[in-house]
Amino acid sequence: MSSTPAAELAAIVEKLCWAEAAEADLARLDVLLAAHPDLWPAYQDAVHLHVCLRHRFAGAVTTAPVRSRFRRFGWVAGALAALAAGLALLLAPPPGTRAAPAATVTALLGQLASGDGDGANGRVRLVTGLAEVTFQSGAVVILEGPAELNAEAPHRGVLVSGRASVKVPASAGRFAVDTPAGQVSDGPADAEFGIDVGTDGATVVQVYGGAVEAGGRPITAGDAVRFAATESSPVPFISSRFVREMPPFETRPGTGNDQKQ
Amino acid sequence: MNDDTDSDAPPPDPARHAEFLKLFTRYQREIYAYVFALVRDWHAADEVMQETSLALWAHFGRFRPDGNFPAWACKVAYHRVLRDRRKRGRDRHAFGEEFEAVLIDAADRSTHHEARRDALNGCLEKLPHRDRTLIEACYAGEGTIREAASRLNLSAKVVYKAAARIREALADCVNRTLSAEGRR
Repeated sequence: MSSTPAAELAAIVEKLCWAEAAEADLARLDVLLAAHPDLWPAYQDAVHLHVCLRHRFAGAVTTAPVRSRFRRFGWVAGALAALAAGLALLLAPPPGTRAAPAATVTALLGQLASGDGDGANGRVRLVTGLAEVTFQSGAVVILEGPAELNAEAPHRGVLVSGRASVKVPASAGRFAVDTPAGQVSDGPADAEFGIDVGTDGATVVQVYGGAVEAGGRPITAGDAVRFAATESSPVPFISSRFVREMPPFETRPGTGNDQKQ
Repeated sequence: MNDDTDSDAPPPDPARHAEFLKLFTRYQREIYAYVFALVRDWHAADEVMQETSLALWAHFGRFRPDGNFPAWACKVAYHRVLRDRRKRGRDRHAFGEEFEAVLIDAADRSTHHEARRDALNGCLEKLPHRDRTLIEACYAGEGTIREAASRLNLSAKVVYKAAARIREALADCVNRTLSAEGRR
């Protein structure tokens, strides 16, 4: 055991911040802080240092409100997180090509997985919150974290997991999203649809506008269908099932909203 | 400390969106640190922070423009933490109402933490290259010592001790900086 309460506290905080504290450590921390309230400032300073370093080197730690909350409050955003200045995340083109990026993260209210900030492999892994991904074709995808999207080409993405809403203007041409349950592709006109890839791979497709084809089955505006590996079935159309717009904050990269650090 | 964030309040003027955004982004690390200090778990802190951010936004109309935003935000966060603890059945531990005064003081320290953050930026620049590389490795990726050790091809024990040493040096540097500036 460390010799002084302060030293003991520091040792526990070290474990705590690296997620290695055991229940006994937490209990001991309680005892220490109860017996020595004067240690609270040191405790807070130590935690704050950890949080700042985590934020500095691992991306923003704060999370944006999740979709379910948006539903409850309407389009009210409560937080802005990972918009450090100059954040314009270009998603890399497919290996072996030198073409322009297939897509760009054009707005972020949340946290990307560490390492995705450089757009490696065209992959967007959204840990939490919302991300707007604009494909070179003009299609716009809003991801709801947690979700993973691979920008394979200007006209094609792969939704590996999570929820996404997709807007495809007619000028964008045909656009397709591959999911574990099959491909979802739009028609020649404007289209807007949502895709929810469940943890079991089953996928719900809901169409807001235009028409899409999912798993070989046409779906028109106002309909929603659930696809599994071998079957599909209609499900209720729930308008609020997907987030279709980013919150009404100016969240574009480079706006200098995060002035510090 | 009253939690007045559950009652209905008029929605903030749209003109205040930008103000909220500015304040929240400026102090988010301080609010998060406050939350983490209480919940002591990164995942739980994320969840509480989400709840807190929503409450802050929903009730931003009540925040006076000349008020202390981080202190207000931390007090809102405090009640979200209490809810989280009840939800997780963790009331058997730690702070209860008897710590309220301490926690209010702690919330008021959040402004002080902004100065510490500024000082930390300067201290990071003064770190020897080797230490800077190690501390970056520790916080990059998943932010675990094990991952950092693997990346650096060192043992976890070595990295753990080195990270503790570097963080202690950074804390000392921050304290010296603030003392020199008469802010500590």
